[in-house]
Amino acid sequence: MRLPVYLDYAATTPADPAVVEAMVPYLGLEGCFANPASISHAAGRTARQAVEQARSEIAALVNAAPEEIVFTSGATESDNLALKGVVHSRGMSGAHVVTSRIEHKAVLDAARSIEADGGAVTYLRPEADGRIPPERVAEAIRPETVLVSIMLVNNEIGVIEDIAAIGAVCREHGVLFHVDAAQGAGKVPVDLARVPVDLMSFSGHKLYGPKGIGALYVRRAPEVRLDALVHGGGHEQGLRSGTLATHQIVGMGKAFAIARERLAEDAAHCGRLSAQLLEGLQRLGGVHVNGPAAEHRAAHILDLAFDGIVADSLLYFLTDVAVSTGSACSSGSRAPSYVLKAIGLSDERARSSLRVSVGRFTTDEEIAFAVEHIGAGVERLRAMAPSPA
Amino acid sequence: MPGPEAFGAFARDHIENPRNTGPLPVVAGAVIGSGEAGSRASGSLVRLRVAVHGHVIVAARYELLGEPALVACASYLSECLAGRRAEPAAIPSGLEIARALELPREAHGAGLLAEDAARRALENVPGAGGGD
Repeated sequence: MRLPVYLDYAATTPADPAVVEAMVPYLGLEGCFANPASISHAAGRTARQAVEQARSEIAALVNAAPEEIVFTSGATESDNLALKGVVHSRGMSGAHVVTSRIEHKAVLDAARSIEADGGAVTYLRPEADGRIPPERVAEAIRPETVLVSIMLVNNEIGVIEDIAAIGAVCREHGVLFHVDAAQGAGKVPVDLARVPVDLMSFSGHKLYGPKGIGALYVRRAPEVRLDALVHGGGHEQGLRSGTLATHQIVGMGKAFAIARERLAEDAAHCGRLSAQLLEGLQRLGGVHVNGPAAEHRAAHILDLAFDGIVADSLLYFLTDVAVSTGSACSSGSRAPSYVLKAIGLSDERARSSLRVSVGRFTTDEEIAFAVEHIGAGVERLRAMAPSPA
Repeated sequence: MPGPEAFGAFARDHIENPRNTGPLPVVAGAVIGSGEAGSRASGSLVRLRVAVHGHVIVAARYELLGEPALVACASYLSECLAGRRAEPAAIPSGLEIARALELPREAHGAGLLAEDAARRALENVPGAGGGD
């Protein structure tokens, strides 16, 4: 067993060995390193072909058309392009966006930037399990609303939002719908031919692909008007200029192709291991699941609160288990998780919480090891804990 | 949140082998004072109890909820207090505690919290440090 046991798959995943193998030929002199925009020579055209093959693989995972996929540097850029791109295209002043309080920081910070530029944003409060009721979205839509942005799977508590119902609300009101699917794509099934979504963000590294690459789905029919944020060459249908990173794109394409084949198998594996982990830790007593019940939660994420401890202290002792106290993008902060606060948890409970996320390569042995080590750390801290006042 | 690598060997030893946890030992003729600092909501709470006999602190024990630095501070302070006079001047300042443990600057607040709990514990000793 490799130590530390890695149980932070929601932060990032290791690249699948087949992904690494697929990427290498696109880097060096002996391989296909040419610029995929250099279609004046065969090497460039071969690189272009590889990029287009990857585009098709990514589109296939969500049943979209390849030409609806725009490559970006990652889901953060995709989220920014979706939110700011829509608002810019409509003229900033007075534009209104609806999102939720539990979105990823990439959406929330893009929304703050829209507000700073004169736009307006409504941040919806979720239910106690993290779900956003579609009727709450409907109530928030105003005549000047241009976009609704709700994530597919929350990165901390794993709640799966009902994007089909929320999308239907958006269609009914003639408002564009963006979904941040960085955490959900390849983990829960998505069929964009059936679900009314206009824009969807993807990440390579959350799905066993490389870091530094992502994509934005931009619906063709009805066409979504979007302003580019990065200019310089008109790549990606003018929506995202910059030389395409062939090796990363190929890696992401391979990762998405594998995910399409393994979606059900991966979900079953993660669900079984998460249940095993929960069962093992619940023997400690005073262990609570934050967020939704299993049927509304992505199988790979489990956010747990442990009575009588501060999770930051627990992390100190977990030198052989890699877990986190929140999203990787805000877990350096000492403030309690904004996601856990938004679903109504107290500061004390939020501070006692740990996110454990499993993945394709997690084994039963690793789960048993984690249960033992997390359990020992919790008991050690509880031995010092003050009795309730 | 700092991991073990953020602390020196002395602090790590206190964090990993905290001294003086558990209940106060029974000392005939001693009186007990208890003090608390911090809050559960802030994620840092320390409750310190001292047994005082003949104006001397004979034992200190603590309960706490908090980050590793607070464990180090409470453990170190509990060792320092034993055998000292039961008077405010005997309590090391938060800064002294943090410096003794070579805590990273951002963890110095833990020393202050431990100091506050100790001061309150001494203030709450019946007879203001009595026990004769």
